[in-house]
Amino acid sequence: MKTEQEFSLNIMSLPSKPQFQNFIDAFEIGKMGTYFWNSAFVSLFTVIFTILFGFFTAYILARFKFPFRNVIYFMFLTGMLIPIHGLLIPIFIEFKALGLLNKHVTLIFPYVAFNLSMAIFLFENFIKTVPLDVEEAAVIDGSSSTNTVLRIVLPLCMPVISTAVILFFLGAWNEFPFALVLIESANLRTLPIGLTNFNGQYTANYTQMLAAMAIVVLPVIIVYLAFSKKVMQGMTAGAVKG
Amino acid sequence: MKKSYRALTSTALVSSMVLLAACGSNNASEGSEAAKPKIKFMHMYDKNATPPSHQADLIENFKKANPDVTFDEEVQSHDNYETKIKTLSAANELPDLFLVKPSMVATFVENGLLLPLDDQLNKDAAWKDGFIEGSLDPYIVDGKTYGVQMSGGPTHVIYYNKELVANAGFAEFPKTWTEFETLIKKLVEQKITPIALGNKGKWVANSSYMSTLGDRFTGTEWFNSLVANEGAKFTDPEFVQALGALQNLVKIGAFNKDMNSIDNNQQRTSYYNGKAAMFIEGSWAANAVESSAPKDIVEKTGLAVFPAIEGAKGAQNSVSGGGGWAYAVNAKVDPAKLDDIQKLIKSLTDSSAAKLILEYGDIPSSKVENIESIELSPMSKQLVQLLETTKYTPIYDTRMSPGLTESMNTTLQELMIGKYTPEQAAEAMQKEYDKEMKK
Repeated sequence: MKTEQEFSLNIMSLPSKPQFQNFIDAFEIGKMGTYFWNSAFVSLFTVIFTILFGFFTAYILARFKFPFRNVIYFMFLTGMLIPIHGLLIPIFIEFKALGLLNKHVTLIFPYVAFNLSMAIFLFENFIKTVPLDVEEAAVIDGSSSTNTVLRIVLPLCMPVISTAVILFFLGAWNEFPFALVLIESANLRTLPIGLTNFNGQYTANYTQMLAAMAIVVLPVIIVYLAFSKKVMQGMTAGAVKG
Repeated sequence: MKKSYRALTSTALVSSMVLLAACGSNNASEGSEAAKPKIKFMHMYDKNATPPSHQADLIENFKKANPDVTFDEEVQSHDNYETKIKTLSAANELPDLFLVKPSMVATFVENGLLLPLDDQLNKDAAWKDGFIEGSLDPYIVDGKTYGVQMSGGPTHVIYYNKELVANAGFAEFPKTWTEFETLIKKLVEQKITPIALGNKGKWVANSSYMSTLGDRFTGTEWFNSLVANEGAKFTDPEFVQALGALQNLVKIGAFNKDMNSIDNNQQRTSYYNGKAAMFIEGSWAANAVESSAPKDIVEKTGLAVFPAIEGAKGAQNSVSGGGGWAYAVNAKVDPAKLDDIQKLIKSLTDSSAAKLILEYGDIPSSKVENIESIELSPMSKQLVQLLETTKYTPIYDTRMSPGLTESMNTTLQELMIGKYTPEQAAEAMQKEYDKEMKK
């Protein structure tokens, strides 16, 4: 809303002549539109796949006893301990070998992989709190097992799934190191990388950057508002159910 | 229950297959067979960036003049570029042509990642001899040149408000350190911030202050000996004196109170407002002043360097400068591309490029003939005139290892908040230095 000159004189003052040129510049010069779509694409699929894989895996781990169940569960959990930066270079080399660098879907793989352990941990704990009687009743009423999971257990897990949606959406939306290393072409970049382009080596174009930031924050706020009610319940997921 | 477990597993398996298959078919169609192999070029000069950069212009010009050379370009902003190039070097997947900083050169060369460019330089004597003396030194390892620099101004320039300095009783900028301190005390009395400093990033005190101040006290020989591990120590009395001089500036109230919580962009704000009489930064800030400061401030701005220090050992007209980014070539590059790469680097760094670089208000690494014929902004003119009276000395943080630089940055900050005496600060740096040299 302010020009660069006005901004450098007084950061906190209200704009004397409100103007939207910064927003226009952010889209035209900063390619915010392209980045926005890329971020949305990556975040959306990350959330879908993480929750899909996470939920079914967690269900099996929670409901069935099979050999090595504890070992598998423990392996998933240790996944949460792995520092992302340590894996950056190996993953880069691996992706290079697989020819997966610099594609639209590139970022979805690491994001899903890194979020899975968290998802499984959350879901597994929550599914354990869902009474088995409900499922038994459904089976007695002639529901198939797949049906039981999808129609009975899944809806009951809505609070924890909402939490997961917000958590993973935010994570994918704001993720920086992988987006930087695995993506080369400007057309496939995500928002966090795009934002830093307003920062030169010694100078920063703050006004455009702030305009761009306003654009970036919007969807996050929208997603949060949409799921916030569920999050309130989700916050207590795994806590004692009264 | 057994059955459902199987059903679930198969669902998961099938869905992952679909996902993988969907991705597999997404092979981006590579460009049609060009006559020449594509040059993979990674840099940080976006042609749409503000403020515009001379390198972006020069790259575009080269493309127009040589349509037969094809590129596979990747442009990242400065900080991202640095992160990514380090990652790529660790994975040994560097592009054909890219930029390096002096502090990276030694490590990269050690790991055989860089191609010596002497053959390319020797092919074209005019280009090679056109460089300002010493401007390629930071990129030379064992007598071989690994980087070609386009521009590298001084990292230390004092931008001062002539009117405020005159009001404090100095018609022209102080010539000696004692006078300089007197000026600062006068300004404090007048309730004006003498020097606006934003050292949040920690590099300002090192790059724009200490590199010059230290050299005045110790001389350049000392620093070269330090880097080469030939006996010089941070604890040498001359360097401790330099640290003392810096700390004394803080003591007499030279800086604003929030110097550690604002950055180098923000330090200019109080100068633009006329609330501060000076700020100290590299030549790059000249552009920022011209584009962001109010007109009357731009007109009142004078440029200077630290005044002479009485009885100090080094050259008293020295200014840290000349380092910075330079073009480098991957050791594994396909020899078929070398001629084009040489043409490109030359077009970005030779004396005709230097003219454009000057017009942008930057300081080129190649000499420019008959400087008067070029249209320059008043600020750039002042800068060029100022540099005719000075000589370049090493920029500390471009020549020291990243670890040592980090330690020095932190120590200087702690010295400036009075946590360390100059002696203690010197010892802290020396400790880090000894640790590194033992390796």
